Amino acid sequence: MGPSLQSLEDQYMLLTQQLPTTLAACTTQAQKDQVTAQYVDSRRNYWNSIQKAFHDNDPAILSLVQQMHDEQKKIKETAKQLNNIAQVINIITDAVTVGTALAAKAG
Amino acid sequence: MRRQRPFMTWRSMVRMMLLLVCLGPAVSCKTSEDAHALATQMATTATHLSAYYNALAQIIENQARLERLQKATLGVPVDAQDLAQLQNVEYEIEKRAVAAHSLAELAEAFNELNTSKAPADVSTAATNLGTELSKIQQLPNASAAPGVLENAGKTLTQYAQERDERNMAKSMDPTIAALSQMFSQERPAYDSINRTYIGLAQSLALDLVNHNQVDPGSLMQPALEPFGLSSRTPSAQVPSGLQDYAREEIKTRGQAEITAHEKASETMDHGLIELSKRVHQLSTEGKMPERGTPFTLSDVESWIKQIL
Repeated sequence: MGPSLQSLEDQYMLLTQQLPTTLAACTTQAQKDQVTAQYVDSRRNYWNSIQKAFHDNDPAILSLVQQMHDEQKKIKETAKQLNNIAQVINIITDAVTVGTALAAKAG
Repeated sequence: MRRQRPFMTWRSMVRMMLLLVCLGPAVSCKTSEDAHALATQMATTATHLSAYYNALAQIIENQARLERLQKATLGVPVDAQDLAQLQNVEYEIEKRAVAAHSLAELAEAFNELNTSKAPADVSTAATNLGTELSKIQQLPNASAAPGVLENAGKTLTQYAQERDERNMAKSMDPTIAALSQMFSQERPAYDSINRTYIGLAQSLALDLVNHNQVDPGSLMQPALEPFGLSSRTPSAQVPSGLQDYAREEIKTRGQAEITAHEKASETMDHGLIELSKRVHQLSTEGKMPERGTPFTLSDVESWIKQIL
């Protein structure tokens, strides 16, 4: 599988697995809305990449893929940081932003 | 010089004629067996391919249901844009299913070439296949497919009636090669679609277990069924042991379903590659060294039965 589709799938699936606990850690509806908004963006990025079935030998794409790997590690760590939900939301937002840039490269 | 007796010459001629009469059908039987074997394999492979794509389209429909369930249980938004996104992917998969079905019909029309209306069936089937292939953007030279295959339909019929299997195969060679190439390239996306569906289902199922919203009755069935007993839904919290067992089943069965699909897509990929190889052999060498079924599509059938 191309690294970009794999990266977007990995991000979408990791956020899916962590979603119930992340939402449970939110103390306000605004925080929940931020988390679900980023989750929806990640889901849309993934389905965009499925639809386009793009090629992954573009150097800019490879660089973004590396960034996705780095962001993925941070998302995994958020499972241990749920007491600081604001920080978790920031990490998820940054990661999904990279995913959006990667999905857009297929256009 | 010794004079040949006419009787001996006449007997030699009769022997030679008898030999030719016996050999003739054997030679023509060999070539039509190649074409029949290839058409049968093409029909089988294309029928399985169509069913595979129909099952994958069902997976995407199931994904849409899960996203709506996720909205109900976790408040994750699902709007018209999201549903349209899924519908577009499903539509692409369905186009492939229809194209594969058209290929199966063409192959079946070949096998019926002994009947009087079969030549028209071959032309019609080839034209239909060309039309369906032109709708698939990712297929190499898709836009040329209708014209190419409509012409191919006429020449295919002519070649079949002339028992020119080599040219028949030559006409189909690029189409089969393109379909095989497309499947190989897209296979990672097909596997990914199935993985994300199972992943989402697992996540939702685990959340329901954690919230005591799962009836564990089916887990107890293996113990009760031999005695004609059925479980009773517990009114209080499900015992933690049963909850752990439910979680374990969700993970184990989820992985089994992912593996089953990956086996199916790999088998389908190999089946198409082998079919393409045989079509190419017949088109370049004029014969198929192997006619027997080189592979089984049982893994594809098993996975399809789970879904449809």
